[in-house]
Amino acid sequence: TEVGFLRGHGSYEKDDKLYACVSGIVERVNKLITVRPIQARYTGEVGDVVVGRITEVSHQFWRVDLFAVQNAVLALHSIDFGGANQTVRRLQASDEYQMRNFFVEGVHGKDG
Amino acid sequence: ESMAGDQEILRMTEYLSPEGLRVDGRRPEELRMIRCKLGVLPQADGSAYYQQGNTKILAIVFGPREVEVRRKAVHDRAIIKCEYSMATFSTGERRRQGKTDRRSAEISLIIRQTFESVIMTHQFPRSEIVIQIQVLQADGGTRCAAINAATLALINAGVPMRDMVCACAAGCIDGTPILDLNYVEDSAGGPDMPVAILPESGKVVMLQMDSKLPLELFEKVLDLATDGSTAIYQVLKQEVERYTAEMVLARGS
Repeated sequence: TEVGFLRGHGSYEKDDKLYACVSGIVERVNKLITVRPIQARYTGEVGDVVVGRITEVSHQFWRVDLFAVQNAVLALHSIDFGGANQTVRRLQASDEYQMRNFFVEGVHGKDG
Repeated sequence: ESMAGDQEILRMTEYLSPEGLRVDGRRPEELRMIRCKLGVLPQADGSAYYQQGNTKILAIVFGPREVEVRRKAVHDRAIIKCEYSMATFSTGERRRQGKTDRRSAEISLIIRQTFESVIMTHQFPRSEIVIQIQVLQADGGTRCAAINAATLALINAGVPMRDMVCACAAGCIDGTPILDLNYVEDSAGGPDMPVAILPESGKVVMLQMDSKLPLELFEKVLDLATDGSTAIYQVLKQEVERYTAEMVLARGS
């Protein structure tokens, strides 16, 4: 390839040449070349809203299956305990024991 | 002289007729007809059906996904699991059920090692890629067909690889190198050499041989197998391009 081309996802460099490593659509943004496979597992982008299924309840977090490369983690800390009638408060040990009241294995959840 | 239970043993010369035709009418350097299809099982991440003569293989790929047995996860790359199994109806006589016979275990290992050198596992730490091969009908050259099918399935799943892996087997009958042995020719007891290559670079990623071969013949048989793999590459590449174009069109992008 010419000098200055940048390697994006889906391609690799060898001996000064750029090769595709997946079968898909070549996208070019100025000097950045990416190859987007037509079918692959979900790779997250910042700002995506995802729907997942809880696979495991652990200390202080849940494991969520998003059909991505790895399972996602939903931390207990990220849940807002404030509500109409409650004041926002700090996380306590008792909240950990209450985790199953929020999400249990097999439940679908939505998260941004 | 007894008819019952007597196996008809073909003499070596009958595998190659005086005109140079093999038992199925092919020339020594002729491949069997190949048919392949990507994306045959939508519920898997990737899948492919591959047929070479009467050998029929179904390959399924899952992943990259979270490792099922968490302690086996490796921190900097994806692990590859491969399972090769033959359906009970795949051979002439019904096979006994049970996954772990030695040959299947060996072939699973061979396929895994072949793809470990090609798949870019460092892009997916702590995950696994599972390749499952199901032989629907076995008529010689199953491990090579399995590798070809797996290549297609991995491409269908969007797994990044350095190159496609193409495999073909060759052997030797009466000093004549023969390409793509079928089951009858394989059972003749002559040498059988499955070879898998990376077509763009020509590098050999898998090479096996059973039986013995004199050195001069070894080179000829290896070259023949490599040429066969390259020819198969053209077929696979064409199918991948056709499928990709079709999918792109269907999505209207």
